[in-house]
Amino acid sequence: MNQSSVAYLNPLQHDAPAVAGTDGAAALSVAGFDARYDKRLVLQDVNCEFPPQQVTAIMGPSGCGKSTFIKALNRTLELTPGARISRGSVLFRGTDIYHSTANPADIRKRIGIIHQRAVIFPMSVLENVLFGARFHQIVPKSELEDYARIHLERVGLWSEVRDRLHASAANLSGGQQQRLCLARTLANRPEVILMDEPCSALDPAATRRIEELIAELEKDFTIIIVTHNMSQARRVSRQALFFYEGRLVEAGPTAQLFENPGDALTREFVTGQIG
Amino acid sequence: MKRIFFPAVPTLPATANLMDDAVTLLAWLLGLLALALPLGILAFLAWHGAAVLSWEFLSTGPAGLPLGTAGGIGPAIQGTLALVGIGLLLALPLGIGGGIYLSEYAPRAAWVSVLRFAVECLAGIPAVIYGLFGYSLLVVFLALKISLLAGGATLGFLMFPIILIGTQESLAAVEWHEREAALALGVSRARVIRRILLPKAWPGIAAVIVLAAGHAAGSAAPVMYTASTIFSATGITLASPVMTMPTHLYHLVAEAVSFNHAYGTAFVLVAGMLLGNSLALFLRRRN
Repeated sequence: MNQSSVAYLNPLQHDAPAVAGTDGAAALSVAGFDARYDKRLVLQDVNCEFPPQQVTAIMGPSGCGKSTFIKALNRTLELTPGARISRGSVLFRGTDIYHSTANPADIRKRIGIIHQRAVIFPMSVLENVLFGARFHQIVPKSELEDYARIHLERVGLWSEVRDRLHASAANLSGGQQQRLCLARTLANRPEVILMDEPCSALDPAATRRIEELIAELEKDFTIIIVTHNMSQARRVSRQALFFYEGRLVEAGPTAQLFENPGDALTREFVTGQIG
Repeated sequence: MKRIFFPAVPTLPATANLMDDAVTLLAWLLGLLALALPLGILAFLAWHGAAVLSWEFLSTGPAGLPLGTAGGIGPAIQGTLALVGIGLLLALPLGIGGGIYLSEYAPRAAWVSVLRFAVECLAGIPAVIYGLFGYSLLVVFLALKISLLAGGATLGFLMFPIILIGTQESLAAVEWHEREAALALGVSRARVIRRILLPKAWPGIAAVIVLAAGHAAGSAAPVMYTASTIFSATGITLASPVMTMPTHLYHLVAEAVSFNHAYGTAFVLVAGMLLGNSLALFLRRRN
């Protein structure tokens, strides 16, 4: 790939100082990580790595810190009043996203997030898809509409919305709204996609569509999904992390976590005794 | 299988039902009274002002001897509209900007509450104090003389805290998730405010602007010493004084010029404010 097409893919990529001794193989690696809400410690000493182009599931009972953790991976946790990272680092391609020279907006562009509840902006379907892409000037203005179509097609929404591209997006169904959010994130050209319980508000059919999309996107993106639903974790992920009371209890291949857990707590969780 | 018996739910005592009826009746009576008051005032003004109300009354200037016993209030309507317009030119950027700062940018909760307290105090200052302040600062110190500019700016000071508080509240009412979802795309805070928060908050902000403008249009005290005159021969210019509806009304009544003309003027003022408030309500409902 030549220089210009690389710039085209990542117009905001900058050269933040690399941290010595990092493992280039992982898309994200977390070390000695603590997070707090005001003074309360909600994540304690988390160490883990996320392999690239794979789906990693984050499991655990309510209140275990899994949502807090996933938001910390793209610097959106700090948007929550009172939330802060008190220790540790998150290396993204060898660069600490919490380094003082890192630009949070740039990190958020490169590591996208899908929230539990689809948030539709007060504008048309088309403008919703292009909200981030326009700001980051990812494509020339004349190509914006085609660019939006590509991403709507990718999430299987094009045929459903092609006649109402300029109508408000507020009238879409819950499942359509969540796929629109995914198209909006994809249009930002991220390298990693975080998903915070993306199906918890959806019916089974809409959930299946999202899961199919995750499987399709896996070859191009590093995907990290928080899920409350153990069977979903089994279906979509290859790696899994199990959190309990703010600590990472166990990490490994999903099948191993379910069939041969190394920790008693993990076993209790996957067999439904806690959670 | 063991059977479980639940105790029967006791019925409410008779006095509770009676009490409920009495409170319902009282609420209805007070509610109707509250509704009857503004409608009654409007009907009263229309009844007494009907004799003078006409297209001429709205479009021509006062005439007769003493002045105001004949003719209309055209220049007073124009003067009031011009004063409020100039006031809005000042109050809109300051009020909306301040509201955005307090809601979206101000760093700490303690700092926000200090500023908010100060603005609330400002909103609570009587209109006549604004008049005195406008007189000493604008008319005398800045030598703007008694003029449309000085009075408009004084009304701007009056409207500023109301618009600021309304903007802050309307923005704060936009769900936090909207900000989180938009900022998570790596866009700037300014863009989130312009494209998402302001469009969502706009009906509330527009409503408070109309309320503030109505309040300013009806206040005699702030323009009495800064802008108003009994009769304007120069027409509407920034540097000259203007007639206003509330001060014209004050003049008609205080000098016992013409009560019919006073009622007519009051009706136009109140009907205009009612129209403005209906517009505000409509804007709020539309969301």
